[in-house]
Amino acid sequence: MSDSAYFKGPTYHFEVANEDKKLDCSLSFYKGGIYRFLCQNEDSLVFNDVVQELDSDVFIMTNVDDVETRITAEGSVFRVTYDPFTIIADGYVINGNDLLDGGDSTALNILFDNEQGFYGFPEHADSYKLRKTVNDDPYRLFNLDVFEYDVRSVFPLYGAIPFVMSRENGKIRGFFYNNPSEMFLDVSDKDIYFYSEAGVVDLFGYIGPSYKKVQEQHHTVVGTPKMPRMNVLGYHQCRWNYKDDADSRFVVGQFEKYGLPFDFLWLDIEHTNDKRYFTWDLNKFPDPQKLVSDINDLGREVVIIADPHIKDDKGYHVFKAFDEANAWIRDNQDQPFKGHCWPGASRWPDFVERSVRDIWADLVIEYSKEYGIKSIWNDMNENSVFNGPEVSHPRDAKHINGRQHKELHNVMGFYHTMATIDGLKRLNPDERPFVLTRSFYGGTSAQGVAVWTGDNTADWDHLAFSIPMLLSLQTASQYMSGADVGGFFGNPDGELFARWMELGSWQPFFRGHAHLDTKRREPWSFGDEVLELVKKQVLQRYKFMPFWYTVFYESERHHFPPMNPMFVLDNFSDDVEDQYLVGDKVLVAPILHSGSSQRDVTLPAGRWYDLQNSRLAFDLKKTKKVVAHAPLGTIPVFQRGGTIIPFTTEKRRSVTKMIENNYSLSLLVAPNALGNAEGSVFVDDGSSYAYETLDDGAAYFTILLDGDAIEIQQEGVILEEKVLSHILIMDYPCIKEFEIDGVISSNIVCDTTKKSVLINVDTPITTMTIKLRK
Amino acid sequence: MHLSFYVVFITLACVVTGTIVRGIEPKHEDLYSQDEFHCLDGSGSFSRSVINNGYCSCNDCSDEPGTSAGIQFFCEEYPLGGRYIHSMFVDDGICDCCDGSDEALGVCPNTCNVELRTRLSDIQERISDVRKGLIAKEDLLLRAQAIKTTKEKELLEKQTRKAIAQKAVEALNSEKEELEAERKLVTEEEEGKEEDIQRVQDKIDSVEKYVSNEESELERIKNEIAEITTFLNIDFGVENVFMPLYDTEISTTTQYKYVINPFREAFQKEKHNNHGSTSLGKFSADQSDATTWSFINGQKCWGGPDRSLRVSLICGTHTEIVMADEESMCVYVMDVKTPAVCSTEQLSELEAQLGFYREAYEKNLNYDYAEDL
Repeated sequence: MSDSAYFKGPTYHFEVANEDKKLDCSLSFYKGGIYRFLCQNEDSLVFNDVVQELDSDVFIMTNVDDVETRITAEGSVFRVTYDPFTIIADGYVINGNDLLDGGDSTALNILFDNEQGFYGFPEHADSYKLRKTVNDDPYRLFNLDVFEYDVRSVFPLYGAIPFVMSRENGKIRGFFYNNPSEMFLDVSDKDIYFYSEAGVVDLFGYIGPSYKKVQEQHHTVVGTPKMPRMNVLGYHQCRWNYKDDADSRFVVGQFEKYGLPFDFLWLDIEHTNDKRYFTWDLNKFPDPQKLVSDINDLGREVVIIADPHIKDDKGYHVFKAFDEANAWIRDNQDQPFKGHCWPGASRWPDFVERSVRDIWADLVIEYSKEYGIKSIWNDMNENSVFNGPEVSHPRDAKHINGRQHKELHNVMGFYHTMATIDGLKRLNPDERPFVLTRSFYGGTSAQGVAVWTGDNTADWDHLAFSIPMLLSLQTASQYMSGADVGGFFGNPDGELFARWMELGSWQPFFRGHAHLDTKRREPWSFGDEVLELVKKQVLQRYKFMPFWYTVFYESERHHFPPMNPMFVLDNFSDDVEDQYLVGDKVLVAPILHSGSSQRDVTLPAGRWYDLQNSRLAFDLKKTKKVVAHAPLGTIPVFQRGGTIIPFTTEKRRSVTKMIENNYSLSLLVAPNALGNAEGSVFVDDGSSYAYETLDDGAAYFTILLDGDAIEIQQEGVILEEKVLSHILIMDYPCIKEFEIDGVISSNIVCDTTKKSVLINVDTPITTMTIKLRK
Repeated sequence: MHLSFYVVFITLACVVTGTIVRGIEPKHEDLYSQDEFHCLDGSGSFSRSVINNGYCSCNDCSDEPGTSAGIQFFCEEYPLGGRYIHSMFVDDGICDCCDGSDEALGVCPNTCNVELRTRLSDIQERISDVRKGLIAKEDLLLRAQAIKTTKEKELLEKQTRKAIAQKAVEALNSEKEELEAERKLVTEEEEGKEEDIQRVQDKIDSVEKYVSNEESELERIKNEIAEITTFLNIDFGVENVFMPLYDTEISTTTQYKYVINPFREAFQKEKHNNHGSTSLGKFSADQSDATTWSFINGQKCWGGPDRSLRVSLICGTHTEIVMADEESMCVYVMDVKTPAVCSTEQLSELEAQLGFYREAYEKNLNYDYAEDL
């Protein structure tokens, strides 16, 4: 232990220095298996805006000698050695060899005892399991507006979450290298190497040891992803651009005509008066309020876009608001930074400042109130500067707090959405806001913000890569995420479009979007045959809406991502990237190749039920590759034996209409070999915060099939009775009657071909037992 | 007072005439009243209790005609004749059927009578349009006949003139040959004189001048013949009904001025600037038919396809563009009303509809709900 080292509470302070450089370092321990290794010099930026209040009520034991300091925290042992400087943890070593190298840059190497799989570190269009980069380019994080990005690439995209998960025989750990400057990651079999352009070494370590535990530990640090409003899980129809009032009404009318449900109509940049956000082009949209309220009347919402570049126009109220407050990002001469974007000459507010975010939030409130808008889309917030280096700000641009842009580059989007969310929350304090962003950082999800994978392309590669890209986002805790269905650039044919709708309908954020230059591609644009196939998929999404909603509720309650790799199952550990799980109950194995109507699916041992026709498909003694048939318009989706998932039999125009008409619940029961199954369902008004405390309008039901009885346990209080309409038990012998609270009914339909039993319960759901009698 | 009575009266009438099973077509009543229900698509058989129990048991959900778990719901809409709506509209608080049958009793007022009157007046208006259109079409046909006769006559004249010109050229050429032979003789005469040679040469020059004049006249006539022949070979539809539109310009005067030159080309022009003109495509006979004009391979779009235009032809009293839209980037669609596509079949179809609605209207007026009680 060096002379200057000391303990203060559960934090060990020490110095790492040579002739040129001196760093104040600390190793702190927090409740729940979290530690923070921070090394800074006086003027470097510690990015604390993302860090939540952490509980340091941790008891540590220390043991200090000349060679090392030994710290035991919550059962884990850490040894800090000085020559060379290392932190030796259970199973790996944090190697500080390079701490003192370089000027402003930082570097840190983590070396594991055993070979690992590494995951996360979005956003890249690459495999889910991070590739080895030793003899190749490293993964790079530097938020950029990338035109027509390629797949299989370590090139940076729009967002950055410097979070890496390591996996070794079921032991899972996490590392969050909290630094918003340009960052690189080198990956090899046994080690990862972070290096960043500026800032500090600020490593949050999560000891795991499970996938869920690492998620929870990361949420303790950056905040827990917030569940969206229920209607956000519906289908979104977007295009650059729905041209005018008539076009918007036409699109809504077509959904009505074809009986296609959808929840959100999106208006891209062309709806504004010459890209002045928070205004309308009144030639094209003469009465925006009327348009918005007419769409609302059908149970649907309008989302408008509001980008961070502000048209350089002294007569524009948004420009004026920021200009009067001198709120712009500056150039290296300390003058307002000017550049080009969609409106032509533009400036960018410095959202790093709280006071500047407040101006934006006020604009959001004023605008949303006037036009009845509740949902906002923040695009181009990397920031995209058309005439800037790599299409962004120069690194020596300046922020109001005196920091150079290079120190903060990767959190422009993070601060932009923070301001938007703040406005919407202040306007509607009782309703969860909906904001979509293209750029993001760790913690964006905890603001309650959704992301999409930006400007992808209408080809089969991009369809397939939506899976690893979204899995990486999920692992890095960006739960509400999706890829543009159909591919933003280019024109999908009917087959690719239908396959993409199939896959999109089983991913968290489900939005069709297209570039200005593309052909129209709403679901009816490819002829009646494709329309019918696509409609089936969209209806299925809405049928299982109670399941999706429950998955999102549980993602927040149990820190378990809505979309997961196969290895989260107890009896499976391979890396498979072309199939995935929704929660841990449903397996999705989409068709990803042109001309195919079947594929191999890897199924772990156990029973697997085909969700599209509600019957037992496979009963496997061990993991097996099976062939799933899926002609166009069908997607192989399996329910895991031993689970129960909720759905609704009632079809509606939209989720909002489902809620308005108090949709009834039904349960799909998939027994395991022992005849047991368990599941859950969450119910609330679809938009309030009641779920946080489970009182006054939100309830969580756990459901258990135990041989010949179904037990339902209620937690929380719902205000309006919720009818449990039907229970379909698959692969179950025919029963004659069922009993609830002494009341016997024989309202049962046995399907002998499918071997299923349909019970017409038709009773308000509550804590109860349903006895099944043969 | 009278109106409100009417609404109540229709509502009651519908309740009484409604089928036993909600949401089915009256003609299917038998299929839904047996003890065992057979799915309409043959996908299974169930006990009667599955009908409208809120769970779709058949592949076609025909066991759920009256709930939102089904696929389609039949609105009886007496006396309009009834129609299917999507089951997702059933019991959602929005009135879709004019008889209100898609919602619980008392939620929606019965508006079938209003609907009936609207439809009656719409059809009457359309019939009047088609009738006027047919008269205008007669005129088009007469004009087409006249144009055709004129053009054919012109063609004959030109052909005669062509023959005359050809003969003249031949005659002049043989005269030229004779003169050339004479010149040869004169030149070869030993005692030939310069002035004799010059005299023959002058004659030759003058004949050559006549030949050249006649030849260009012939060329001009040939071109005119080709032009008329091309015109007469265009498929102008039955009895050449579109022929009179050939030399016209159909245009709009909106923000962008769209101009269609039928069977030739379409353009977009700046409204206040006649110089700037962008081709939306040339007429494609292959991709057009009796009621659609297709213009393809127009000026290429920056970052997009070649411009193209699809025109749908609708019966109307005169020829005009009634809708113009850029469906997606540089893909234009327009609706053009023109008498040329009006037909008597269309008229009879509309008159049949009118008859149906008139009868419905009569029925409704004479309907005495007391009889049903």
